[in-house]
Amino acid sequence: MFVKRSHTAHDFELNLTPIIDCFVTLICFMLLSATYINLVGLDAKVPVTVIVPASAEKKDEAKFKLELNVKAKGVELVVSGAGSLSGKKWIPAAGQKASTGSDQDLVKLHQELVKIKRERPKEFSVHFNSEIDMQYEELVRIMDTTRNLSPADGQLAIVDERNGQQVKVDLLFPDFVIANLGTANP
Amino acid sequence: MRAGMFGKRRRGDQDFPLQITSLIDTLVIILVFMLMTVGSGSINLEPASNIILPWSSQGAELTQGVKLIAKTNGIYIDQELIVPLQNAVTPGGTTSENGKKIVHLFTKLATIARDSKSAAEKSGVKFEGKILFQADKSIPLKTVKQVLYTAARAGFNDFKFAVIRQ
Repeated sequence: MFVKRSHTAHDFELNLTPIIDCFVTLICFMLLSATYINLVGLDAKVPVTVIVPASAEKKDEAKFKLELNVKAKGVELVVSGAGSLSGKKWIPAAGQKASTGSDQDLVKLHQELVKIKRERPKEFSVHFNSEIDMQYEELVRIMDTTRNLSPADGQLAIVDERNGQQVKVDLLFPDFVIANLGTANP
Repeated sequence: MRAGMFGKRRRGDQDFPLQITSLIDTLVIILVFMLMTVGSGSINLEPASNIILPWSSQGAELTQGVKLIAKTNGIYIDQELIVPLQNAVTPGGTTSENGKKIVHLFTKLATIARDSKSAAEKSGVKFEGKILFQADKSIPLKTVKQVLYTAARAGFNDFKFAVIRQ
């Protein structure tokens, strides 16, 4: 049972050369192909002009629409076609400038959007408009604010009409439509 | 001497089966790594040079599309300068329709859209009009709007803003 194996036929040194070759190749491949910056994409849409018949236009009047208007002294949220939720909500600027030079209160804006989302969980579009010029970075920050629910917002679920099951939603208003491109010079 | 150089090696204690387990392990790791990196439909986009992209905590995978880049010194399509910018703003004479449309950019994008549409028709694929937009974080909204308006007029309505994930 405890017989010592003799150092003859079964002992040999493992030939590590091919493995090391593979690892060297792998490391080179990874170093060359790796991108050290993780790029992702934020969806943005522009409105498309479509000719609709007058009857269809009347129907659309009652359709939910959320508008986000950026002004010099704050952000205005306009909700239409949402019954009692319809109306305007003014979010004044925070007064403290961010790195982008803007002082918009994006935390408060996010909270207001969460409130609207809780009332209308099946809506996903927001129409953005700005009366002031801003840096592209600020636009991305606003898109960031409107896109996802944060863990602090709690959970939100909608009923899937196809199977009647509840589906968890972690999106806020991800369909970001940049409106009023016709006014390119604010 | 001859036996030493060209002689057959004796089958004895120096012959053993090659241990290929580790090699197979390595190859499997490479395969998994490649499959994870090259996901279906997604692309690996390298940030353009001389550009500072904005940060974002959100974002989805990037997909294929026309690579439109807005730097402070010009607007590029796939590294080709289309319109020079002065301090990130379009200089006078390069726009039309009350400053909303960038003329040269429209011409180039319209050509790309026409070629893509005819290629899509031939291959039976739908033209989606997607643009991968990389812009310097200091570019003013005015210029961004001009680019979006111009692209929309050329037939591109679906934009993906490339940002760096925090």
